Amino acid sequence: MKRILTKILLFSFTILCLCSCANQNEPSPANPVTLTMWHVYGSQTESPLNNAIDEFNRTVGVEKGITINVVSVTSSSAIDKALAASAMGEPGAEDMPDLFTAYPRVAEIVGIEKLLRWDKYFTEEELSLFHNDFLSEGYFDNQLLMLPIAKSTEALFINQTLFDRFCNETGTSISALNSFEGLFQVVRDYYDWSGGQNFMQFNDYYNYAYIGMKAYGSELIRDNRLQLDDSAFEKVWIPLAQTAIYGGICLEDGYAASRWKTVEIIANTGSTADVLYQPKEVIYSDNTSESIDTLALPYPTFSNNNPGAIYRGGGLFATKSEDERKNRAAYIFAKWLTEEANNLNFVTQAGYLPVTDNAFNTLFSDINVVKNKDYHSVYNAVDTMIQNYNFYALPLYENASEIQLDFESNVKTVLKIAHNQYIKRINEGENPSTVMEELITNSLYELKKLSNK
Amino acid sequence: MKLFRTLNLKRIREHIKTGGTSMRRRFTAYIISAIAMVLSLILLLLNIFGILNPITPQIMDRLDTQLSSYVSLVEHDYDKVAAYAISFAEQLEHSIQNYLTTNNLAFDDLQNNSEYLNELQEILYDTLYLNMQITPSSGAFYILNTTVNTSSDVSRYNGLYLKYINLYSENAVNNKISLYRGSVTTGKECNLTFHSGWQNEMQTDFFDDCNKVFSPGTHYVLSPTVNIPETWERARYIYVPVYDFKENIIGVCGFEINDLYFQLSNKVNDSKLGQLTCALLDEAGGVYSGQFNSSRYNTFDSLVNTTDKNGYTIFDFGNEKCVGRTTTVTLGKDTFTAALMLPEPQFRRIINTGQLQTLCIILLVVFFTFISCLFLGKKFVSPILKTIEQIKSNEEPTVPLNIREIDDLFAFLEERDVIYEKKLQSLEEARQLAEEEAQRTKLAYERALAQYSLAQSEIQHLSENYKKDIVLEDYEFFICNLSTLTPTEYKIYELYLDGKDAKEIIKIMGFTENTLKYHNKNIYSKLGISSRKQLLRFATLKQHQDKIGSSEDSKT
Repeated sequence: MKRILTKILLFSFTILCLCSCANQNEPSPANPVTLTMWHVYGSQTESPLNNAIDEFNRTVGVEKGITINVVSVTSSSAIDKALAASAMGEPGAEDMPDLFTAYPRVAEIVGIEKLLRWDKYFTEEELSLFHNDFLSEGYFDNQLLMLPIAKSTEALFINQTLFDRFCNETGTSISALNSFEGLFQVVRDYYDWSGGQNFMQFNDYYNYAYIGMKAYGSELIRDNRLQLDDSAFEKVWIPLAQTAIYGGICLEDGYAASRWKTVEIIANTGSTADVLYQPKEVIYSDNTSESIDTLALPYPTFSNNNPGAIYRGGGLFATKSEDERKNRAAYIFAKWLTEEANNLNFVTQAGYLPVTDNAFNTLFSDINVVKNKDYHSVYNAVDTMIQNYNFYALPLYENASEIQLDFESNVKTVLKIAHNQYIKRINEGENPSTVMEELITNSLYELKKLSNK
Repeated sequence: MKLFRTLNLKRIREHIKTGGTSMRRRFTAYIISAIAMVLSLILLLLNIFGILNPITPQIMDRLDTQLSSYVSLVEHDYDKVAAYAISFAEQLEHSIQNYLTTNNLAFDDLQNNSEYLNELQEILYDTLYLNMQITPSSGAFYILNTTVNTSSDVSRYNGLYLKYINLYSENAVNNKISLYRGSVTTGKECNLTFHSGWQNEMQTDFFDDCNKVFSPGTHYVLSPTVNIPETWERARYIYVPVYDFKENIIGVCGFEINDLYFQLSNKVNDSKLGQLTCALLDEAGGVYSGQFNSSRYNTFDSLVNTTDKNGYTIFDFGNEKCVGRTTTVTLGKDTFTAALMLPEPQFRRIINTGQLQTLCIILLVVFFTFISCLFLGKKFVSPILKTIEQIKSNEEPTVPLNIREIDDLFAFLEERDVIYEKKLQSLEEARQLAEEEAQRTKLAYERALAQYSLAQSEIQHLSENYKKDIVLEDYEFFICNLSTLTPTEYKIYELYLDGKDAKEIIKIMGFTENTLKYHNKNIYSKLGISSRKQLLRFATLKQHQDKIGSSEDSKT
């Protein structure tokens, strides 16, 4: 009788365990998990990451009961702002998303303790597949919080159709765009040729200064501060300021792609991912339109000194959840997205670079991996840069995000004021060279003053 | 099965059949039966009163409740947007009329005139922007039935269409906006960001059958879900007509609800069922399409087949299925299907968990009932068994059981014992008396036997003496003629031999004295004797000789 009772007891206990403990920590179709996501990988016309997520949801997602629900495709600055609002619990702010893509600076805004440690889920072997430079950027206090899923670098984009027209009439060679010195000359020439039209827009003056200082053997950031008094900064600043004050560089906020479309500019420096936003036709003010070709060129060099470029792009963050199934689901998705085939498929639709060494080698050993032929020029430019350039990740330091944004704003403000003064004073009959020299000096002074506030 | 084999029920059953059932087992079985009956009754009542319903109807009830709430919300939200659209249209009508009047223009004069149209756009921009800010939507537009270029290959319509950039919350206030459709001039004058898919005018079928669509009584129209050209987005539009002062439709205006905004503004959760997917669908021939609050389903080209089964609807997405409920909802002039669903595996898991929990509870109740019965049986029967054992071993029960019936039984048995003891004692005494009597009888018998032997020897002695006295011829005559006696005479002869006197023989035979004398005379005559004394002597001698003869015969 005792044995029978023991067996009944064990049977009941097993059933209880099955009821209460089954698959508590693993998502499954019977116990599905939905992860909300904000990301930046897409324009208003196309979103390659959404396509990848759809693929995941239909395959692995169905199999493992995971849904990635994209609730926002936006810009990195908008995500920063929204995350800050969520983290601070501001009225009207949404809950923190389970997954989001952002730059490393966001870790400070959100709070490291609220973020999932990827290194607790990825094995060392899995992490060893990642490109080391990309991975190292994601560590905060030895905790891997940002997982690289796609990286980009910077390139120079040209509206080839209109640029060719300009070259044909002025005899300008496209090789002039290899260096910033040549580029600035082309900007000024185009400004004159077009009757005061801007040639280009800089996507990021902070990156320009950072690479420039590196090229001249110095650092833009030391001791968590901008080194604007460094003599190397003058070498970087003067050609930019000279051109911007003269005219031809758009100093307004906003997307370069919009200005391409209305022919306000015909070139811009920016992320290789900008290729996704480049319009295929432009529309003139008289409502006529014209199809255009786009050309991507390597990021210009500084007097051919130490060519370098920034590795751009943030990475994937996950909000740490008390529901372990969500953490596991985030890992499963991140792992799927960074697998060679999936990663290549995703990044090459958006002008990004893959994040594992194997995928990197596959891409640059055969550029035909990129299915969209329009993107080949971007990857050819990157291939050239990989052969000859040094790549840098922007340093992360205290208030980096704020300092970077302030620098961008200050440069535009100072140069815009200087440009307007230059035009005004030239029109008033002052000597252009004298005015220019004065305004360059003043602009640098004003920039330093604003930066030291 | 193994457990059942281990339990060896067959053996137990046979044992019960052949060996009878112990008091404890019987008691336990009765308690279990009683509890089982009570439990069955409780379960039956709970079921009848709906407290213990099957799990699927419970889920469907919850879905129905949530769906009802969701439908109310949808009706409220879309009515609100429609109200804003009607107000927006009135403002547009007023502004357009003012512009036309001020410039002394008719509406048709705007055709092919980019200057007027751009100017009108700039005037109407503020109205559009303001209405977009206050209306829960992802974009706003107005379209006029006119164009800057009628010679265009395709029909184009002039107007403005603004969309939010960076939409991440239902609360779109302060979100940046982009110009999706509108002139370059307006974009620049209003300092707008151009949408990646921007064009200056719209290609649209909003004006197809516009007069029919806005028949009397139709306040607004909610469009089917359509792909927004040049984008990866899909949206529904809530739009209303814009009239001129002659009540002719000159355009439409309204708001965009894209999939993302639909997701952000339609969240349905249930504490028990978890996250639910809601949808607002159009039905055409059993095929459904529309907007879901999950991007997962918005990407399925929105083809959903539904099959009613067991009171719920199965939504078939091809590679996966959902289970839920649907209901119809009228928005504007059309009827839509509102649906609420959850993935089929999740649905199955909830059912299985519920069933497992019920099974678990039943098993636990059965188990604890069994254990309790065993314990109670032991507790209740053990003292009785112990007392019986004590009784068997002739020990006095140490402690009373405090069970009245059992204590009464023992008292009764004790009384019976006393009675039996008394009876036994009296029987014992009787036995002793009988033994003494038997002893005495035996002694008397032995004495009688000795007397008898003595008498026998005396008889033998006398017989021998008689033999000597009796004349042998007379005796032989007597013997030879004894057979000549009639039965009556022989009977009388025997009675004499038995020692009966004349009176006794008369009484026995029912004779008169004379009749006896008559028979005596005949007997005497036939036997050759003269007196009763002689008769008895001969008869005694004969008997003695017969006895000797028979003993000799037995010896031989």
